[in-house]
Amino acid sequence: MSRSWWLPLALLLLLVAVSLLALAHGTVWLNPFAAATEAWQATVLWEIRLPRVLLAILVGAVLGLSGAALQGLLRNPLADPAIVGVSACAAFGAVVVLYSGLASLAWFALPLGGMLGAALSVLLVYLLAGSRSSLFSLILAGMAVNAFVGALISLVLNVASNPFAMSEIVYWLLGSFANRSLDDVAAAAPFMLAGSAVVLTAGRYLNALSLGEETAASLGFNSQRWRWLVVSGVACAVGAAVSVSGNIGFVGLVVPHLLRPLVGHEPRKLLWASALGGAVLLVLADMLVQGISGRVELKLGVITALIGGPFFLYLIVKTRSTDW
Amino acid sequence: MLCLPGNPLLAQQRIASLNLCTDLLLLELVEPERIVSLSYWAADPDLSYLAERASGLTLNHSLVEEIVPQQPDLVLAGQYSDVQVVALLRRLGYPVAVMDVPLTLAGMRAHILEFGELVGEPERALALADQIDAGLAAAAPTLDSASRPLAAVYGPQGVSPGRDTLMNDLLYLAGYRNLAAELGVSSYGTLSLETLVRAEPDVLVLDNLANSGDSIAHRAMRHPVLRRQFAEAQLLHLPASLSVCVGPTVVTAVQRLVAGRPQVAVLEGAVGE
Repeated sequence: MSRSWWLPLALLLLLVAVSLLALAHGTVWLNPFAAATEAWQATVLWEIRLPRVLLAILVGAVLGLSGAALQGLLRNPLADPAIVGVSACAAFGAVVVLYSGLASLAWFALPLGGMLGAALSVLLVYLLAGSRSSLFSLILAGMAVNAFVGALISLVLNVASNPFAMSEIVYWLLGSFANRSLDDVAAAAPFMLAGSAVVLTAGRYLNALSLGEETAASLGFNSQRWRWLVVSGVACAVGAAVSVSGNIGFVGLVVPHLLRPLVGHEPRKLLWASALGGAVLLVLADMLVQGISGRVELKLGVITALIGGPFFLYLIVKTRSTDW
Repeated sequence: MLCLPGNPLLAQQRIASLNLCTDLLLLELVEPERIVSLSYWAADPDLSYLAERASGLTLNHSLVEEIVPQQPDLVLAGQYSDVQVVALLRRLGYPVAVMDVPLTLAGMRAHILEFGELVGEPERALALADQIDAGLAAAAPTLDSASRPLAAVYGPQGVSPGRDTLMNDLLYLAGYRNLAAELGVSSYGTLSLETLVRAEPDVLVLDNLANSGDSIAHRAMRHPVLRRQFAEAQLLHLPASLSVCVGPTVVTAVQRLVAGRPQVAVLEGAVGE
């Protein structure tokens, strides 16, 4: 089957290409392969642009992968970490840890806050919508969680004794990779990678699940155990990702949908493809926000929502005609 | 007009202020018994050099409800104060003076003198203006433009004051060039970390707001590039309370900037490359 490998390979090559382009692109074009002629060039390339590109790759991969996993697990085409409220809760956890000063206690405190918030949201959504939720009860549960947690974030930022806290609401609600350092990458990457690895082991279960829960059980999968694995993997990866990037929406929704036809609707292959596709999308989006910025750099979530919003509406119209 | 003794009626007014800059001049020129309300910024030591004196007074958050019970004879506002608040106070019969607080050194003297007339303390205002002018004249070095080091002001969120800002005037007076102004920023703009590293400024001016607290803005100020690129000797810490408003602090600010100027030998090395 030639089809099983060409797509991941093509996406990987595309990712390498856009990542190199993103390294070269900035306030001035720099060649990542040429030796630096001036001291500042190396600093700009490897300490300012590289962390950005690495974070865009990792966070994009986590969001794409998590979207594909949640869609498979909930058997719901509208599932996405941002829509079901996981990202907002992760942002809330990170906000509490950061503005209370706890973040400076340990290098892993900020990602940990994000992961705890994400874990809480998964419980909330399960309680509100149930494990076999209909399309719309899931969306409604997510809406309620998003609205409530968005208010909690505003509340925490408002009472924070920090002159910049209020203006950073925008960052937490829309996300950005500006001014990130390799320290941020080092703090969040282990959790993003570990969570993603756990989610990726669930490929065969998701394949079986796509044939129905009874079929999965008859094939020897312990549904309870696999559900918890996927959900904790997503909470871990998305929690860590949001803690260093803010809440970037729609990546987990759009990417799996674009790639699903290309992997023959097989959930296991979709996981890998969505991770790569999410990374490509965020690296491109991050280049775009730097290119069209005015006085203050645009937030990433603006770009992803501009793409994702209309796409979401299209999906709603499409699903309405099939299974209301 | 300026030589007349203060109008005794004006000198009895009980005054409220809604703006940090009018708060500070009020504290400088008027007896505390006459001050019935100051903005809460006046008591914030990060922004106000008179925070200690202000913290004993009644503070407001630009809410009409906080002003009315004080029954002030005069309310001072800045040009950027909330127009709704000003309009409502006027409708309720309170005289509101919306001061055009100068954003640069150019209008400072006239502003202080006008302020003194308004609050009935013209003599104190004249003394203060003279004191500031003398202080600035004494603090500013005489130098030719070739030996001006390049300074970059970098605040949380990358904010940097360009042309037509008080900070720009202070830098120039202290013998620096201002990176943001040279990049065409007028008023306040932002510098990206990339731009900052590329420009290789001789001095990086940071304010105290950058050092305290935890937020995304503060985390960016601790970016390893800033630590590595700029040696401790190139960092000049200037409290925000010295440059936020025109007033006597501009003298201290210029003195600090002059004291922090790199040695000429260092500069000639930089110019010669």
